[in-house]
Amino acid sequence: MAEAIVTIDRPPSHDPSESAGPATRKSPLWVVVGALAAVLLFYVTGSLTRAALSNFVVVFSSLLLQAVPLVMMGAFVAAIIGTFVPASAFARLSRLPEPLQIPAAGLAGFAFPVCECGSVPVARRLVARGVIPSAAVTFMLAAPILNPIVIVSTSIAYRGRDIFWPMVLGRTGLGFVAAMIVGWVVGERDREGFLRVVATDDLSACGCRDDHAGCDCGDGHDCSHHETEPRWKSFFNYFAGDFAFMGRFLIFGASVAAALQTLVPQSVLGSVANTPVVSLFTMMALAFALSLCSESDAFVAASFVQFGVGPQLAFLVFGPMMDAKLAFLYNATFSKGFLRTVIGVVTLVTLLGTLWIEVLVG
Amino acid sequence: MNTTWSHNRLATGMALAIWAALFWFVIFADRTSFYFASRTTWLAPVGAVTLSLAMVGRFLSSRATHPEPLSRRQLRTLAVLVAPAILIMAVPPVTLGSFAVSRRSTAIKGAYVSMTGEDLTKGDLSLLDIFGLSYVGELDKLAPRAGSTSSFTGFVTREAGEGTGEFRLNRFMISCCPGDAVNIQLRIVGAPPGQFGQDDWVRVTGDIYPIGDGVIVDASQVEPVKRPEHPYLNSS
Repeated sequence: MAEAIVTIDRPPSHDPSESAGPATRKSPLWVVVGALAAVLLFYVTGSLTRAALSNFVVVFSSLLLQAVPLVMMGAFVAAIIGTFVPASAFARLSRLPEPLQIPAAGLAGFAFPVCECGSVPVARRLVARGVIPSAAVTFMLAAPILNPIVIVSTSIAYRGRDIFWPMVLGRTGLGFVAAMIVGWVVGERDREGFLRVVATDDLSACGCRDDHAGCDCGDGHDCSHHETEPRWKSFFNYFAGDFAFMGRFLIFGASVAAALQTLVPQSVLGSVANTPVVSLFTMMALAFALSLCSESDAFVAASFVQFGVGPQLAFLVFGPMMDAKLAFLYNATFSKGFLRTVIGVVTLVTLLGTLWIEVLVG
Repeated sequence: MNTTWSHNRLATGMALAIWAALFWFVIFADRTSFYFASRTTWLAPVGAVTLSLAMVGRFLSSRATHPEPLSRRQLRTLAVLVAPAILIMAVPPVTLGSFAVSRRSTAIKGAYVSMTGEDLTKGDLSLLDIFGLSYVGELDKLAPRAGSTSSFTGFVTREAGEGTGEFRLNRFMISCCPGDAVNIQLRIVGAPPGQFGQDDWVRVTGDIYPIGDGVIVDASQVEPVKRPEHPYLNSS
């Protein structure tokens, strides 16, 4: 196993992913195990047919082809943040009171239209550059719901319906609140070690094993010896490194989502459509399984007319913050426990919020 | 300062090259309609350009003062990374079919409204028009057209208990990609018995009858057609 070198005292401009912690080395193994599990599941359920495999390939390839450009766009922005935005800018932001930083980060989603796949590398880079984790996480979760493209697509999906306003305002408001609450909960954590450490021999790591203490980071990260490289080289190291880092987790997430879409018929949902609370959990689970882009999920949610306002809203609020793809990206990017926190808090807030709106709307 | 080639960076550059090649391939082989909806087609060139840019940058920065070695583990990870790209390029494009119909929600009523303010009591009638009217509960607007002739293209599925001259005509509608596809379905009666199997693409011409929350087509002609170049309908 590769050595993960421990560094605790780092200037804020340095990537906390370089700090202490066990190196993440299991990703390729996970992919293989996941693929085998998917095949086994197909076999056990009698779904291992040519038609099922075709279905899997169609969904898997389309989810992946849609997500990769969005990740690259996020990686591009993240590389700009990492290379060209001075650390002092983030230090100034960090001096703002936390109660101001969290809502400001959430509202930044209005101005920065990224969907969920693109917001993860940006949040990662923001934390690496010294932004407090709570603000970065709030932005990461809020941007896919609050951005103008998503608001417009939700409006189009529900236009002409009597639940238009509850859906559009409910999604935006509840998404904003849920993102802030997760940010606030995460804010209790230490910035050092918030990002998961990258293994010395990870593809995105430099692994140069020189005498720069603590240099176990990604090769685009802020290692001191890389500071001697021209900026354009650092930029491309960030840019390519994020693809190498995120790509494999995206592949695994897309394969899980495709397997779930292939194995689980949506008709099973109809039986719980009128069961309070259960229908909310069902739609959250569906959002997790489908792993749709937040810019298109409203059209799918609106097609589940057998479900009321609450479950449809639960689908639209939960999905952009937590789905199969994101679970792997979060787990690879952030420290142990983050995924659990996001699942717990987002589920609770979505549940309570949608119940409240359902009662309100009647 | 002495620089040497970093095998790690060269290998990552190769992975980026394969992914960039996939996106260029999708564009130039005219396969975008298999993976993207009309409103997300822009993602294909964005993917091609950003991946190409990252690849070029990666190669240009492959000489380093501290070159990174390339371990076996990194090679395995790269293999995982490039395998889907090669797979997608290698296999012929497939589309959602009857299997997906059994797995997905059918848009008896759904989210897509193609209402453009046009008078639907005359002129061509599309699957999207029917869906849009069904969605807003205004199928009765088609009442004046009951018995009028229209044509629709889709693929065949059969349900248990249906007569030999009956089948369902299906077409998937996508918003971003086939991952979010919703099925539009018409019931076809009066078709030549036993001629068309599951997943066969056909063009049905017949008289339409809006009944309840669906539309029945009494077919006067059913002809086999090739899968359309744009197999999915788009919501906008």
